[in-house]
Amino acid sequence: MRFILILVTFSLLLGSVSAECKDKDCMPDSYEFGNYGHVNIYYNSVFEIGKNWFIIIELNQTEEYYDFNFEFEEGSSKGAHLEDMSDNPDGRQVTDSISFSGSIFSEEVFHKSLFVNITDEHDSLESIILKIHINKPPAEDMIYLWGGMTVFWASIGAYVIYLSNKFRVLSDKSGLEDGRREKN
Amino acid sequence: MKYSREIIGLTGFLLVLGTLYFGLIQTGPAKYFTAPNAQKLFYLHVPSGLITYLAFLMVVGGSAVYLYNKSDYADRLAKCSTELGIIFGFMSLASGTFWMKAEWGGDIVSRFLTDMRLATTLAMWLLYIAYFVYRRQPENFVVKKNAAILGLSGMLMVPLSYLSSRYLRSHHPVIVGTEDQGSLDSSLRIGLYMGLFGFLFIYIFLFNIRMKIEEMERDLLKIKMENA
Repeated sequence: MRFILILVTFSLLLGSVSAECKDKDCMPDSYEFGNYGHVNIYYNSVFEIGKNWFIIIELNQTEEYYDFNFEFEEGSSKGAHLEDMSDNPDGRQVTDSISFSGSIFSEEVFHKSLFVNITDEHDSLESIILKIHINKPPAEDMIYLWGGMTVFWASIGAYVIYLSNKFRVLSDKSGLEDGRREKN
Repeated sequence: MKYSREIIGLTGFLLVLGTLYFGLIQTGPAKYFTAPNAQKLFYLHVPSGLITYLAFLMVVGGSAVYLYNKSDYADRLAKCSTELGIIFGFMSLASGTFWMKAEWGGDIVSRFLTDMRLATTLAMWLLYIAYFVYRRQPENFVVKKNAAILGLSGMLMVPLSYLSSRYLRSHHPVIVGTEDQGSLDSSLRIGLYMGLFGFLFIYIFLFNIRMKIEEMERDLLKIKMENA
């Protein structure tokens, strides 16, 4: 019982540790475009509902500029413009990121199409479709619901047991005392 | 009626079960809440809070009557109602803490220190814990009188806790007695009233038993003193 109490208290006091990762190391999927990997798009093919979903775009060793447009079927879209302004063309890298709000989807969907359109100064260079899985994580607040509900039943139950024990002890004592008095 | 107490207890239990069915199964996750599932605690959190106020108001009433005319019944009533107030108060505070953690997040301790509704309710609850502890000693006139004075201080604490979310700094929502009460969804209202009456019947049932036990204890003490 004490262990459970400690566990419940600890879980309540413990802060939320979930965080959204915006680093490309956290992105398990990528798409490469252009000769020698001029453009890299890093993303996670699993879109978690409720968490912001990030795409990282990386431009390598190029003097051109690119416009990126990302659009889901429903119409949610985001754009990015990447341009290398530095003088030295060797070993340079430009990165940018965009994010979609975690609330744009509410239901689980597999193989959702994300249309990516890459254009340069003049015309469209590439149009691709990335397949995304929309995942609905289990509700995090369920544990709080059950924790709270347990409090009601545990409290009433414990008090009923306490009263019942007290009642039994008193009934026994009362019987004894009555017996003694009768004898006297 | 022979089994009136048991019928009241059973009715209360069934009403609370009905509330759970209504809140957890009949109605889906709540809209417009950060924690739509934890919102279900509303159906029992609010009733337990209101019953806590009722219990502590009975302590205030019992204490006042005892100080006025030394009524043994009033003293018993105050003592027994304190225990129930502590139980329902714990239910309200603990369930509220779970709900708060899910809905608002953040540090619980600092919320209890900065939100006036939480702080005053906790203070009220601790006051009656003190009353309960004080009454654990052998009873005599002085103990009863001091306890009644302590119990009477709820006259200040109960309204302070109840009104704190209206007039002091607090995030705690106010439903009862405001314009929002009328805008409560009918399903919320049915669940809330079921929970309220359920807890009220359970309170009456437990209070009745507790009063009976207290009566037995005092009778036993009298017999012991007579025999001694």
